[in-house]
Amino acid sequence: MEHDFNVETFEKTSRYSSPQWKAYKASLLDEYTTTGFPAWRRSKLARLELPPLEEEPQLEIEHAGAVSITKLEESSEALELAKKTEFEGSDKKFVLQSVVFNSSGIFAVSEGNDGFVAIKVGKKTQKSVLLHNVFLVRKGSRLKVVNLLESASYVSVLNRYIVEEGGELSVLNIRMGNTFSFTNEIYRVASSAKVNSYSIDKPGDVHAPFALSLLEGRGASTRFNNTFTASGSSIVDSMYVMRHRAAETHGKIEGSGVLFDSARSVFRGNIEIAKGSINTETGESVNVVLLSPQARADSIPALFVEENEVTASHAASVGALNEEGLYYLMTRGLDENSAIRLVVRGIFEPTLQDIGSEFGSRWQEVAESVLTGKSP
Amino acid sequence: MTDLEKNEDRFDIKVNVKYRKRTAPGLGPAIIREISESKEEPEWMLEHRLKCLEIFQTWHDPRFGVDVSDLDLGNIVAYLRPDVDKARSWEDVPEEIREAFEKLGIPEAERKVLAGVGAQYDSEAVYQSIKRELESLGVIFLDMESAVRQYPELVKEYFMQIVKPTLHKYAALHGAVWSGGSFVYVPRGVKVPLPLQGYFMMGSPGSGQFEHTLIIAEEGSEVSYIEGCSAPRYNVLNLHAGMVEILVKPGAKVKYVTIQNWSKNTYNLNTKVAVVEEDGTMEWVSGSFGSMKTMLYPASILKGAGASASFLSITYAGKGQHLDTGAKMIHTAPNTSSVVDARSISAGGGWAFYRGLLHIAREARGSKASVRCSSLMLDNESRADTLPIIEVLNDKADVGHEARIGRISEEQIYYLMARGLSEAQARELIVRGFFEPIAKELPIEYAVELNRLIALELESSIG
Repeated sequence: MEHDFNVETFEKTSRYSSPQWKAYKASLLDEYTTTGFPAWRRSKLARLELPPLEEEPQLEIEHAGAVSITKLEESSEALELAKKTEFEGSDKKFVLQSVVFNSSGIFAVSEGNDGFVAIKVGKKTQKSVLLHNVFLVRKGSRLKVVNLLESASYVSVLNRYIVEEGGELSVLNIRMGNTFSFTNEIYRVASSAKVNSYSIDKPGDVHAPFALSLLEGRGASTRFNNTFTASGSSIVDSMYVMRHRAAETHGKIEGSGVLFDSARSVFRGNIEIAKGSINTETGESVNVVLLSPQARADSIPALFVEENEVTASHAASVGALNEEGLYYLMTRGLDENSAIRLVVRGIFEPTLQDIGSEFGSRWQEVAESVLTGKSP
Repeated sequence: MTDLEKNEDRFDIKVNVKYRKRTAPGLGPAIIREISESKEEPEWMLEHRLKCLEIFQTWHDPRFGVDVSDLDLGNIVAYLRPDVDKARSWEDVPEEIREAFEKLGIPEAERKVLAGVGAQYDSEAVYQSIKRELESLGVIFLDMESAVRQYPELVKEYFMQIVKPTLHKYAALHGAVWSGGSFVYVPRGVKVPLPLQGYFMMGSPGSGQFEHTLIIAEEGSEVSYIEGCSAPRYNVLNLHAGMVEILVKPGAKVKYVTIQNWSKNTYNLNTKVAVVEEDGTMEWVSGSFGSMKTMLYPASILKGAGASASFLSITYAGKGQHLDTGAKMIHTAPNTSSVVDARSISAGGGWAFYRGLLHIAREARGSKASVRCSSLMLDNESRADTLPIIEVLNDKADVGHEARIGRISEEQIYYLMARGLSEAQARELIVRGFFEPIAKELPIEYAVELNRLIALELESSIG
């Protein structure tokens, strides 16, 4: 790629940052500029073009107590947490990019049992979105987070979630129509803490989401549920990592998607079980339906197991729609397109129901319109 | 194929090992000419070897799988030189290997051949009668060197056409220094009544290390081939880089059975590929017990409509072993089908890694495939990893995959102990049950040996 963000971009995007935040970002600038873009085999990044960055993208935030991450000052708990980035993600380049060139982002802390944050960003007016958000779920509290990223030309986001002992976190990511998007999410999950994370994905061109759960305390649990649909020549190239590091941890990776036209999906699920994580129960399942002879689905489930007192499994299926089901519906008077739409709706239904019960009908409707917006 | 071989994707690989590029000192055109001359090869084979040598010298080590940085290619030349006296004594053979022979009940003369210290195994008597029967059917079953001399045109047409030397570094090395192996040609419509055993073709220098097996099954023919044996095989040169090429022509059926038990100092970097034409059937049955490190991914390229392949395997990774294996099923024609059932056991700190690829091409409409991986971990010192890559490029395919990793539960053990078995017997019974579907695909004498081998391995890992 000819053009990359540089020191000028850094100055521009740091204009409204606190000196401390700017200094933290500056300490990583060299590493960013000397790190090259990855040459991925499955998602071609040759077409990637970086847009000019805006000084301060407008975030629409629903949360009374959220603090702008760029205004963080010395000795605040928030700044210290924000600095402890793991630098893991789909690629270090994109993680560094979100950290060094963000001109926006929030720090949000759970409040009691009904914390709720919604961040809405993108839409047609916004060309690029570079964010670094940090969420802290305090001991025994609950937080719900919605991230809506829509129709931007370039997205590079790092979301970090720290869930303390017994905390409960629910996340709903809706990412649709962004031309290029690289999202990295890291969950640090303490003992008896619980994470339930949904992602609804519909790429504009290339969407490469990454999510990692570090199950660090006894009894920690995480569920990743990813539902996607892609059309045209777009690609959704995702990776979910469940890293079990303590006893009695629970993990679940679920993927389901529908592909139209010459769209492509890559679904990677890594389950890693460290020695000593006894009585861990973990599993992965992915199911992709192809609705066009040109579509392509890759599935790369991986199990890395160092402990034998565990239950670990994965299952995958890729195929066409159940033809018998379609014919049945057509004999009932539906035309083929309506029948297909109905069957596809059936694939997404369980996830949409879950989203409805956790985030309410408003967000269920948004998720549904993203997934079923395109008629076959 | 080159592209498929390089699983260097950003997440496909977890093992992050630093490799250095190494070439073998002294391995140059001179030694290659010497080998070729001693085998009285035609000019084209010499040229082929020299071309492979060139490719080998430009290749890097694989960037995934096992760490081969300790593999010493330095003594390869001394081993290859045909006129060098390789006589060693029985006393040089490690104690554990000699013990294993004893326990497996391998006859004295055979032991010496297997350990590389005896004269050529006197299989001639047994082989003669089989040979006559095969000749009457028009089947050619020869050691590879003789085939090159006796059927130069036939061999030239197929030799390393399925596996090109550019596939990977050890395929190129193999092409340069290959020695021994079998050539099997089954004419149209002929059904070979008994399994052919590669065992009879041992004996030429280096044949244990770089043997080349080429099987051509003409239209409508059927043949089974058995490679290796359950007895441990010991060699001073600790590299095995053999190659198997199989061509299954329309409607033909080939079954290839392997029992691999290389001694535990061996790097087993082997290549096996079958091309299956219209309505042909390829069956792989594989048991891997030996070697220190293995990288082996038998591939079936289903290039004719209606072709099918199956891969049944059992891998046992014990103390000090890292076995990185798996099947590749490449569907490139309509209505093809494949089944993979891969089972592994890791014990005593061993590491079993299943790395597979299932590729359904755009043209392979109406294809069906399933991949099943199961791993049994006998303790928490061992590792079991599973990485089955699945690529589906059309909407008229039916693909399923499942994997499971587990252990022997205490309840199962207690149940069997309550029925009067000792704990060791109970474990052995459960492990045998896990192996059963593979064992029953083997000829009876191999199944018996396999059971003995399992008992032996369990004894050393559980103690």
